Amino acid sequence: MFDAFAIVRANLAFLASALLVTIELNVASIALALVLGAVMGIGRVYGGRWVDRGLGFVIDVVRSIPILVIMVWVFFGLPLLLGLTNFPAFLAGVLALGVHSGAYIAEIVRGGLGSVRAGQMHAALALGMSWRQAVGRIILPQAAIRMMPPLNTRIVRNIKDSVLASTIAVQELFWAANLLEGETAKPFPIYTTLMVFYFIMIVTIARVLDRVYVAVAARGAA
Amino acid sequence: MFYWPAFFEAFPALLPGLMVTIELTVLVMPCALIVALSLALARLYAPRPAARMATGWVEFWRTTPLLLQLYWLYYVMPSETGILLPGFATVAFGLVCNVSAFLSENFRAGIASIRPGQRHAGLALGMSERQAFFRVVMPQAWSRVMPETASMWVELFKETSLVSTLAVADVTYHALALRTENYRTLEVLTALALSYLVLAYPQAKFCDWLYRRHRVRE
Amino acid sequence: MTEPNDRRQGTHDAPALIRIEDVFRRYPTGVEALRGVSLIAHEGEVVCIIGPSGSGKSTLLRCVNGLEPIDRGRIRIGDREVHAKSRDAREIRRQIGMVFQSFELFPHMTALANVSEGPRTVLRMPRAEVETRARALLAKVGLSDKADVLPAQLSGGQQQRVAIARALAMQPRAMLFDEATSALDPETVGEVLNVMQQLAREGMTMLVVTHEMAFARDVADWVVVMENGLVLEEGTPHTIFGSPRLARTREFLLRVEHAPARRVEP
Repeated sequence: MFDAFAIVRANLAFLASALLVTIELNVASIALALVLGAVMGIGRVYGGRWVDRGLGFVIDVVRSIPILVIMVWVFFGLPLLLGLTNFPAFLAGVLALGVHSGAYIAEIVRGGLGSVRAGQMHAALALGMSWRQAVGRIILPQAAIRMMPPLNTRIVRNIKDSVLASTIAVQELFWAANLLEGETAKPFPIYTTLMVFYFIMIVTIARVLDRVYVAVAARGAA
Repeated sequence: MFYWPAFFEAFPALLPGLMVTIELTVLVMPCALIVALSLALARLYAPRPAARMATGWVEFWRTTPLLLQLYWLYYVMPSETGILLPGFATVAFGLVCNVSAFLSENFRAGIASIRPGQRHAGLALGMSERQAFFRVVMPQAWSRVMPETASMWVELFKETSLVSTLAVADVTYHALALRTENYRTLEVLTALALSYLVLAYPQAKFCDWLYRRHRVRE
Repeated sequence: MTEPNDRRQGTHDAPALIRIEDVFRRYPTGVEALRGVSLIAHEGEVVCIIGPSGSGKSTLLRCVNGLEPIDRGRIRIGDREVHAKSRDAREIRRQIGMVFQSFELFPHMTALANVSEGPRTVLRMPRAEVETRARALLAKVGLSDKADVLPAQLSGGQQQRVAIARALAMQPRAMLFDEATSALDPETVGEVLNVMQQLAREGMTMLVVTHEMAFARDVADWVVVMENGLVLEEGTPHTIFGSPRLARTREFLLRVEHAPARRVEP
């Protein structure tokens, strides 16, 4: 029984290289999602009525389509629409995950900004700050702390969703596992190891993110 | 570049798959609700070892990727236990486990947020534990957990798309198959995305409305 | 149009610093908060604005430093006109300090950082200089020992004193106090009023919206009574509290004497 896992031990280097792709995929897509989310969230709160409505519609559209469908659409469909040949799967994965998570993060940012009292904006402007300074130095830092718990949930979700990139042949961890399973026909050791690995990885990351939040939360008290 | 006829023709071809998607959602959700409520109650009121086990179970399903869970059930379960369920039943089972875990966390938090004094007041009136729960605590908790439950429904509706990777013929599966038949990739996939959009968008808006309506007032 | 009353009978010869002329302000909701208000504050003068809740006092203050636009009339600070939307608004806000009813300290910054924030980000002063100034101001309001404390750990009175120091850090030409003591516990009102009184003695020009009648009587050079978006009556504290001209003013003063108002006005 224990020896069943020999197949995993024999392929550790291969799996490790795939893990690296998983990490790169997540770092890139989360970075993209944070930028998109911040821009769209700020746009919705301060951009005026029409920007709010326009962005709101775009965000709702993205949130209504499954990430798997977004992923295959970006990978197979988008290059056809743009007339691109040779569209890297990794890029498609980053775009799909980034846009998808970005739409959710935009709503988190919007909620966070909205939760800061109007008086804080007044106080900042009354000191003579520009709008940009008021948002950047006073409103956003307060909102950011309140946004952290849902943001952390979303980051964890992004990591879980990233296994779907295997369907467009991004050579990440789950893709590697499937390949190994296809070659050896030993699903038990391979998928069980992967399950345990993801469990430990995600629990660890969630703990770390939570610690970070607790460490800075004292400053969010208002 | 975008060939409209292929786009329009895709919809009738996707329809049978769409029915499977809806079927799966409608079947999984009620089961998940029942399982979720049992898990939440076990975590709140069961003796400690049972509560711990329920928590562990929920945490497991919440922290691993759904696709991996489905693969495990689909490939590992038959090979190790000899239980060979039809593909549809396997993925439905996996979805129930996954969705109920998220729902139960929501239920638990909602129930725990009702002050113990409410339960005590019910018991003081001579109600049984069961009556106090279903007549006093649950109705109050419901308005707190309802919006989240509704968005979980939408989430489930979208997540059923993963079953296409396990040869269950939902709408995504049909689209990916059709794509390899007529090579109208862009049109077919756009039709697929639009199908989800048309069905999920009103539901998502409904959820937003529920959130606004049931915003916690204290 | 109503001309602002500039007859101070020789009590104040300094030039007018804040000049409000016939100002109207109607909210998008249709509420008319200000319906033709005029008043003047001379340099070094303390002008107290009193009146029942909802009379437009706080709105008037927000209009003075351009946090809210006005629909008609004119507000001038020195020789510059205030326009809420323009870039000048920032220039004017730099010159005028404001203290809010709900303090509005920045909760993510220590007391010292709150006081330093204006000179740092708006005036772009060097760090060392800012710190010296901020520490001196905290000492002035009696909070030297609280420099590294977050607002949440301060009492209401302490928070408001930090807020005053924060406004003073910009070395303003005038200060606006919007019911600075209304949200405070009774026992901490005094410490804030003392700071305000000290400022008045030092010759700061102050526009003070308040429910503290004793403060208005003892510290103000000029008292303005507002009601329903209009100036009801104005004069020296001696006249307003001693022999008000209008029955409405007498009524109001009687009411606040019997029920010391500590109400919160939006």
